Amino acid sequence: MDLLEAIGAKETIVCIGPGGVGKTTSAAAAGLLLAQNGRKVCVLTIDPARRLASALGLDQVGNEPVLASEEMPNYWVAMLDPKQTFDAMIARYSSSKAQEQEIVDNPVYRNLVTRLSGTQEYMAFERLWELRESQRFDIIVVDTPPAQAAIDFLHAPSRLAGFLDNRVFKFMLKPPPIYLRPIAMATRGLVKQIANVVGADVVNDTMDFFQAFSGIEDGFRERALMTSELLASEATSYLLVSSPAPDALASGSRMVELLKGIGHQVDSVLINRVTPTYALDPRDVGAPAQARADLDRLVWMRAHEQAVIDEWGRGLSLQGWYLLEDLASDVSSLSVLSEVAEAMQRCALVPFREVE
Amino acid sequence: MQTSKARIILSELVGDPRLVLVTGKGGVGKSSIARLIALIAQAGGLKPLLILFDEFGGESDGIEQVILLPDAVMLEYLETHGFGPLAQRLLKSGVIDAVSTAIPGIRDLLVLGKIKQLVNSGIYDLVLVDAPASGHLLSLLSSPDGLGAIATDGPIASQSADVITLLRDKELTGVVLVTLPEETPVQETSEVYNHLTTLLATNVLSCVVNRMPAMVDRRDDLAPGSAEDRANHYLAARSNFASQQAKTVRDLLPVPTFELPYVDDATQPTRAAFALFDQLDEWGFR
Repeated sequence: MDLLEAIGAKETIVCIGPGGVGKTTSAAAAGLLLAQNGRKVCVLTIDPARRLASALGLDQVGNEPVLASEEMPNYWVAMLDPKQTFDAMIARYSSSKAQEQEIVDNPVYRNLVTRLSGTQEYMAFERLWELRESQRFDIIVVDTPPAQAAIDFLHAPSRLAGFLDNRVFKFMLKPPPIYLRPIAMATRGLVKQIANVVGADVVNDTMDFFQAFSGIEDGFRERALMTSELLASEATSYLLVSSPAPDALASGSRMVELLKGIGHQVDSVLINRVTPTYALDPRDVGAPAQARADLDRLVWMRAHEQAVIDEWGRGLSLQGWYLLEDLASDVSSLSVLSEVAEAMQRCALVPFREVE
Repeated sequence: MQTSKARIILSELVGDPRLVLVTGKGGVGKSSIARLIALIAQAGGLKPLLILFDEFGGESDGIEQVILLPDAVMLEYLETHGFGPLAQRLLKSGVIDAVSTAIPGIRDLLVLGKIKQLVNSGIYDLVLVDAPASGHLLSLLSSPDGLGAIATDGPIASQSADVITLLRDKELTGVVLVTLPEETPVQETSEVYNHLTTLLATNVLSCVVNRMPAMVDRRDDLAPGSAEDRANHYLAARSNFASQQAKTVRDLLPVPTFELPYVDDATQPTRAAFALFDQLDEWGFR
């Protein structure tokens, strides 16, 4: 099976993997490959390198998909704006303009939007859901933020929903039933003590936030549920992108495990930046010793990487992996991206070999 | 290595601060560089402390190290700030979790407070922080500012003020940026530099361009299209690209820049640090 077949039958492709392995480029190239094969594609990127962004025609952050080039009517790209997405969600679920304003103005909300790790991921999936709902595209390829904290990515929806659902705060907002009053009193006492440490205004802002937010959680919870369903759907495929570096692979396996833990299966593995190797033609003789030594070094490195990958692959329940060789430079134009897409088109599954 | 030589190298790399935060995009080798600087300091007769945030930090190698986990730091703070044995219960109740999720800076501030305490303890000549990836470091370092704005009273407010003073003290504190000779890390390094120096007023000491490939010139004495020719083409393109990126770093950042070679085992911090340490003499320091 080649890579195009592996991903072409799906509706959503989620690219996961550690930072610095060319994940965004791979997502963009996979999208381009699918578009060239007649699918209407949208690539949702999170934070592309500047030159890649401008190659894709993304000169500024914008939630709305744009065409990467006039010549390719099937290839759309969008760069996530988490704040805009979050604001739009608040607007959608608020019962009044006043409620919306109260939430948006609360310092706790501003903190959530800009600082809480996981918000970006949560909003990426929210945006994915919106794009899916719009039915404008055959396939959506989602790039995810680097998995510095793989956990954030996977737990984002439930974590935020859990926070917004915090029972302790609800408890304090609503008058408790009589039999629970002693506990409520004790909790209030604790909150007072916390206020002594962190400052009363911090606690007040937090309380105000939950107060303002009440009634909206249901909408958020419902949406989190739908997003989870979309992510668990048969039509969603997970593509793990890594480099052959042992630390990148290790962080990749942790993501695979975490995904498994919440019932998702990584379907394909793409290993980028593999050292290129060149077959020796027996007719070539007499190359200078240094040039031959350089070639030997590349061949040695490739063999080493391959052994590392085979060993790593034993822990996965996958047939094999897709290989992309290192480019020696960054992708800075659509034509270079096309070359990557072309290389992907030729990508055949490399089986994991038995390790001796 | 001679003590005096190690001291010279250390002073070229970081100068003479008490607290050095080493950061960079994830996967650029900042843990190796933090450990390397600790090794150099130790060789220079100083007593360094390495602070890590990751449970899987690295093998011990004779450098004193401490791992700071935000929850443990939070617990310690609560225990020593009037909550005593109640602290554990507070954490479990979820109240702390809600407050610190709402105001993420609180955890960060307590971590910085702990670092400040270690710096001020007087036990160590140099405290090195294997800091979180740069994006997170910026929010870590801006937490006292942000919290100072939100919390106007109480111990947190005064803690914020103390930490800000330490971070902005150019004699005492500085940041070493670690990057790779590739476009995205270089671009991010430049953004982090600007953010640190302008918005946070924190001193940047130097920039390390890590894992530079060996320089290879394009040859014209190879049979065109032969395996050797194609290998040489690739290696020359790669090293040329890397030196362009290193030049971009030098052009963008007005701080000393050091190019360190790629070493095998580059991804195991302790081994990479030792491998680089062994090559110190070849780096061209005076």
